[in-house]
Amino acid sequence: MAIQVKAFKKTKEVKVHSQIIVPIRFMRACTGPPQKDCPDVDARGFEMATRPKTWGVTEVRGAMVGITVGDTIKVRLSREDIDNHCPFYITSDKPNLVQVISPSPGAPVGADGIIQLKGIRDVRDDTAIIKVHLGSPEGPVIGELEPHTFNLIKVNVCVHRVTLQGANHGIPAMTGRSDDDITAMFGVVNAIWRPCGIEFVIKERRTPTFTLTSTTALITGPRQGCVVIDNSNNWAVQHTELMGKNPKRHMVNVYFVNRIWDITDPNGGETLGIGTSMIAGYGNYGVTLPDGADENDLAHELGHVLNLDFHGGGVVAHADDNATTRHFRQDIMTRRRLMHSYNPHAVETGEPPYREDVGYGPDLRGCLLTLKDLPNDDTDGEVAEARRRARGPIP
Amino acid sequence: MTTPEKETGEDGRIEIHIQGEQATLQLLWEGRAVAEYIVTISNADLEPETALLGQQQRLRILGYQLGHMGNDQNGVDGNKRWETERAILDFQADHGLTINCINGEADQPTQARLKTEVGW
Repeated sequence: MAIQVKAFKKTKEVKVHSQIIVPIRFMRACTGPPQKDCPDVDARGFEMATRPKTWGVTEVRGAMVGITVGDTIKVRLSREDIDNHCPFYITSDKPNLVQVISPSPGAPVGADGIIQLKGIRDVRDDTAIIKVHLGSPEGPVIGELEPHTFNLIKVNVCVHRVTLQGANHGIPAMTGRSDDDITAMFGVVNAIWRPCGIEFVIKERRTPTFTLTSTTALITGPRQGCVVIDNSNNWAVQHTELMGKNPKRHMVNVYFVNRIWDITDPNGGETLGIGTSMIAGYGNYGVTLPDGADENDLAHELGHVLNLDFHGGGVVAHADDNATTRHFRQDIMTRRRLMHSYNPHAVETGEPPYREDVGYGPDLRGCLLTLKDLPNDDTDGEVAEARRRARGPIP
Repeated sequence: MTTPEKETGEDGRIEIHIQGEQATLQLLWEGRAVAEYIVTISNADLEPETALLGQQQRLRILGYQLGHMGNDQNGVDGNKRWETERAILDFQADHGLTINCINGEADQPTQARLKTEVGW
């Protein structure tokens, strides 16, 4: 929704004669770590782009947000060009799908700009519109948000706390994470994935000891006890081998290891996880996660398992990969996304300071899983694709 | 100059006839102005679309938010900041362009499309 002004001047040719007005913006309700009731808002542009077949049509021009059925989420309304004292009122055109919890009916939005929405039903070919009214509940609409409500899909996970043989070099060969550590990690992961209507559930825990044999030449010396990758030669062969080690079928297998050693890096690299898609024909799938990785990394790799950033069985560039300058999360739109390419915990050296905070605090990466499917973005539309894969069957 | 109060139609559009070079659009609530926008009615050129200031002028006309810096407190001042980068990225997303704005730089196709969309 936008107000469009077109002005005419009768006596002269006019070169500039219109102004589109968008006085508000929807944003994540909080800053800091992921919270399940504070989803990222997909506010990439105003257009609604290509829509999955089940989402119906919309006339909304604005942002999208996801809600799991039964959940209440918070979204912040930011005043871009409008007086702080002018009240806003929020309505849902289909409260049987999405209900406005706060502000209460007839009350204006509070000074903090927070609105709360509850997901009621997940239906095919229909969607609700959240409207922002100026001045009264019946006032003119100055902004719109399109929430999508999703039934919860539970994805079962088998967690492996792995010991790798051959650690005679002082590097611990077993993951340092405890069961409690891993449970806490999945709590954050599920906060990130909740707006997509997806929850990862630890159904089984194993503590295996393996010897990786696929690249014996690579696992000598200090590399023993690590998962070794070699970017110059079938880089993920040991990850693939690990995925085949006693996996639990019909679950996503996550192998926690002490370290992933990048042989092409003289210092052993700092690869923060590997995830492979569950789609048929790709082979063993799952996640290898080293002790240096965090919850954002785990959520990211689980995205790969649900086929994000993969097309047709082969790996394609991540959202922000650049053929000539790979490995930089170069712009603020891609820095916000969970499915990024290069995955530093801190910002790149030399980047402008404003890049350091994309809504999660200084130096923290974003967690946006995209609802919009832009024609000029090969790897977005992530929520629809992830849900399609999570719905199964899981091989 | 004062123009009559008007309401948008269902398509959100208002058309007005004015005299002079510039008008101020006000959103009114209970008779008070709660938002103001400068609507430029001008034969004068915008800054070139190749210049950051010209890009900001066009983005603003098209409704993209640029923050509140600058003399008019609308982010149109020729200086790089994250709001301009966000606006260019949003514009690229909306118009099927390669989403590649880095450090607030708009590439040539983006510059050309900005000019096309504004008509000048």
